[in-house]
Amino acid sequence: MSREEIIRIINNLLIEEFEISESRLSPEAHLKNDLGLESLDFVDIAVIVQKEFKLVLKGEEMTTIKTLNDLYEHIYNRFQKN
Amino acid sequence: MASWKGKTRGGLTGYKIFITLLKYSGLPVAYFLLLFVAFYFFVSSPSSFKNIYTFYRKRLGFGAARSLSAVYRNYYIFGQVLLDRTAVMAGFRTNFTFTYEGEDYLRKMADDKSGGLLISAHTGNFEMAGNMLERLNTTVNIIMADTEHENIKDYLSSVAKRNFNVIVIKNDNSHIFEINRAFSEKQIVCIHGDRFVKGSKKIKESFLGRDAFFPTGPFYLAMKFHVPVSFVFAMKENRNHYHFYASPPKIFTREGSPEKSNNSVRLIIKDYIYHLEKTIRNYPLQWFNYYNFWESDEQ
Repeated sequence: MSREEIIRIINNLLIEEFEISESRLSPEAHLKNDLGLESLDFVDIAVIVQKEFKLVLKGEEMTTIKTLNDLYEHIYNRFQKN
Repeated sequence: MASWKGKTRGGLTGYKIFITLLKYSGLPVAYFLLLFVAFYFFVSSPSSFKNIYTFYRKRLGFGAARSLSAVYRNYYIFGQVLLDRTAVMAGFRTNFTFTYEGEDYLRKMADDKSGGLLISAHTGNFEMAGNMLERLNTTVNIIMADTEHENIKDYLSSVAKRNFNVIVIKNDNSHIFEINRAFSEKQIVCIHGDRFVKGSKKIKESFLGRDAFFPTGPFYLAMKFHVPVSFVFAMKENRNHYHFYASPPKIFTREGSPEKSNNSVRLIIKDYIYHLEKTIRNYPLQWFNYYNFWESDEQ
């Protein structure tokens, strides 16, 4: 899967599930501080990442994912490894 | 209505003292000393006294004298519960016997490799269900919110024969992904459904005749991860006997929009409340939430 496809899927998730406007989805956007994602929202992210990308993100991986770009990169890198 | 402050009274030193006492004197001696410790808390904890007294007077309808007696006995039983839990986790010899009601439901979760979510409450002594959960032949993950007591958890793990996986709730939300990992590996996850810290999302529902707030989180997990959910309680019946209850598992699903998912969460909470109320009415002395659980109670 290409990086662009990963970005498209993640952004669609944020727009449809969390009703975040596309204009706010810059790569530097902080997931919590800028996009306002709360604890329970990460439940949806975990479930959809597993469904769309067949990846189970582990807790320790999430400690380094703060921004949208961090999330795109992490998923992309996981794909490269698999 | 006050939310739980996120702290549990008692520190590492207290636990070490308990363990030393249990190791060399055993439970009967510890229970005897507890009579005085319970009285100390009865007279020196005005805040928790007021809350638990109101619980007996207003929620359960006890008379004034009966409520006073119930407060002291509640403290005493809570102390016994802590001692029992510590003795078992430290691997000391005990004579506890158990009745397991609903164990087959949990065994099926493990045997079917579906995993599951067990939601309990701060009633009775759920940790005593550990020896039953060990027999299920699956990994059990316990979600803990009390992060300031990680040293205690580490200490208990160092002296206990049994290891279990603790998932600590953290601000970086990494625990959510640990929970997802556990469910992906068809493991069992345990969480309490009756406490939240300030700022957490919560839902208001009637509980024992008055509105109370319940955390959304555990019930959202139930809905979102589409795993069987059982409400579980382990209640102390006498000095040496515990009775474990597990409700028939259900799978709850999210329906459509976020508004509808909120309704789904509410339905799960109502189900939880039904089982929790039944448990409290059968074991009124084992309600261990010592803060003001209900909305604007008159004292």
